[in-house]
Formats: sequence, C-alpha cells, structure tokens
Amino acid sequence: MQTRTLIDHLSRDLKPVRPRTFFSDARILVILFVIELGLYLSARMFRPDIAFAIHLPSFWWKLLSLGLIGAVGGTATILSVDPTGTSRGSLRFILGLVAMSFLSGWLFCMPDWLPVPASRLNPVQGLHCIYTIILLSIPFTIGLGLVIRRGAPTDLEGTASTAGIAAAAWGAFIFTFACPIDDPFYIALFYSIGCGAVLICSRRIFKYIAHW
Amino acid sequence: MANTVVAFRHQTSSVADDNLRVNKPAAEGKGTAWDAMMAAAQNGNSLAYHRLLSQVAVRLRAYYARRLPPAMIDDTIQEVLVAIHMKRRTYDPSRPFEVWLMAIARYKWIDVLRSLKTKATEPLDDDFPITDHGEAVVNAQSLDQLLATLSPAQSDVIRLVKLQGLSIDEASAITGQSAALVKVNVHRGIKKLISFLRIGRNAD
Repeated sequence: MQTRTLIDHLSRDLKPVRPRTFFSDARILVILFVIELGLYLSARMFRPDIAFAIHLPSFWWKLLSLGLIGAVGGTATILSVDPTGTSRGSLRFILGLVAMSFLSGWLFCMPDWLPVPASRLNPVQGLHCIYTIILLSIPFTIGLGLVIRRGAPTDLEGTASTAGIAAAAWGAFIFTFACPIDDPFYIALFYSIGCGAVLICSRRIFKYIAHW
Repeated sequence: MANTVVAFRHQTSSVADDNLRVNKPAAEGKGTAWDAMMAAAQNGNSLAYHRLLSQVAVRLRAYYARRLPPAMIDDTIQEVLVAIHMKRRTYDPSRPFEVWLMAIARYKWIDVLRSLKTKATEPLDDDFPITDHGEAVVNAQSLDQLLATLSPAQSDVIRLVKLQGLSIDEASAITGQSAALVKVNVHRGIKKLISFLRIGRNAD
C-alpha cells in the first residue's frame, strides 16, 4: 500500500476520541484499589488484633512504606505511558524510597539492636505471606496492564518495572491489614520475596503488553 | 484551545481544495499549526487529519533518510502513521505535537532496528548471475527519443498498435481517433521515423 493511500484510508476512518489524561488513568487505579480493599476488609480478612495493632509503630511503618511505594510506582507508571515520558528518574526515586523504608524500619521499629535470631523468622507464615501478596497483586497487575494498553509507552523496560513495583506494593499494602506479624526483620525478608516475585513475573507480562 | 480548534476548522474548510498538495516544506506545518490540526483531528476533523498526516509523512521521510536503509523508509513511515492513528488519544492538546510525534518516530525507529537483528539476511556475491538488461534499456530510451520527434497523435497510435500490440479498433477507442485516421497516423509516423533514421545514418 502506498503512503498516500494509507493516509486517505486513515483519514476516512477517523472518529473523535477523548484525549487521555493522567486523571482518567489514575481514576481506574484508584477505583480498583478501593474495590479490592473494600472487598478484602468487608470479608473480614483483617487480623483479629487489629485494634491493638494500630497502636504499633511497625504496623504504620508497613502501611506508610508500602502505600508510598505503591502510590509513587502507580504515578510513575501513568506518567511513563505517555510517549514523551520516561520512568528512569522515578525508578531511582522508588529505589531510594525502598532503602529509606528498610532504614526507618530498622531505626524505629526494631524491638532491640541485637542481631536477629532465626527463631523470630516463621517460615510457614512467611510462605503464606508470599502467596497472599502474589494473589492480592493480581487485580492491580490487570489494572496497570489496562492503563499501559491505553497509553503509548516508549520506555518499555522502565514502564514495566514501575508497574511491577506498584502492583507488588499495592498487593502487600492490602495484605498488611491481615498479616499478624510485626517484626521488621520478618517483614523485610518475606515481603521483599513476595514483592520481588510479583515484580519479576509482572515485569515480563508488562513488557509484552507495553509493546505497540 | 476550543477557540483555536474552531478557528482552525474554518481555516481547513477553506483549504479543502488544496488538501492533497502535500509537498510543501515541512517547516510550514510545524509548531502551533500541527498542534491545532491534531487537536482538530481528535475532535473528528478528517480534513485537518489528512493534511496533518501528509505533512508528517514528509517530515518522517526526512527523519528516516539518515537513519534507515532507503528500502525500509516507506514501511517505517507507514508504521508510524498507523501508530499515530491508533494512539492519537494519548496526545495532550496542551503540549507540542512535534515532541509527541518525534517520540513515536524514535520508538518505531528503535523497533525497526531491533527487528533487523531477528531477521536473517544473506549477503549476495559480487558475481551474482543475472541477465544484463542494459541493451534493452538503451533500446527503449532510443525508441522514446525517436517517438518524441513525432506528433502526439502519431506517437500514441504507434505505441498502442506497434509496441503494445492492440488492434486498430482498440487504439481508435483509446485515442478517440477514427480507425482510418489511426491507420494513416501509423503509416505516416513510421515513414517519418524511417526517414529520420536514414538522415541520421547519412550524417554518420
């Protein structure tokens, strides 16, 4: 087909479109987040001692760290699906946030300054955490995939990475309400494994979806 | 922005006649004009869209000329045009169109380069066996020059009847000359060519 013929064809088929905006994409993710959190809490999946837990610094440390990482990751993903956008700066910022989260957990939430004994790790509960984080991140993976398909990312690796981090952080954020363990070392270890697994898998999926 | 779009709609309706004149310099379509055209296209203005894509194609040709082998330029331009069409909702009318366009052009360029890696290519030998068409090309050029010395009515019918092998009636239908006139023009044209060749040979 000649270029001229193609232009004629494309012009003939033109239909009005509503320009994509940051807020239209953000709305999708926020609605998804509210629905999933609402369903999770309404199914009484939260930990039985939640009234006690909200007074613990480690509970808020988990919540704030994961919420912040998820929010920054989601924002970076939405910004990077614009063809002129890139997520390299956002990725560095998120890595800094993760490091800050580990450091603040160590400084403010560790019960003592002694080396962590192996008895404080609970591998069975840990596996359960990993499994649940992966499950809870699936709806966000789908939602972020939708946002990526609606956009036109030109930095596929960066977009896939930020979206993977966001999906993992949001899955872990919701699980925070159900996780009965507040030990920062346990959280740093098993949440990192769960989020890492989500990141690795969803990054592959997002890279495939992001190509256009 | 809405006023700009409305103003542009008036402008595009007045330029509808020269809509297909696409060989204007790319610089003419740059800047706010492209922004307004794309904003109008998002509202469904196909005239503006046609004009924009035509100018963008010229701009893309210049962009890819130094970046891709000539054989791949057309395909890549078409890929970018389709990408613009599919992703036109991602253009933000408050921002420059050209920045958006060049981001897509660069992305597609990298995509093409990446695909080159996966496509198998085989270098041809220098002594690749192929028939030499040089003589046929020279003959065709000489014949064109000879026919150019005749009147259009004579050269047309000679081309149709003697070169393309059409019948007198078919040539008559195509050229609008009567069958008798076609015969006369073929005869006189050939006679003129023969005399032209004789003069040329004597001069040599």
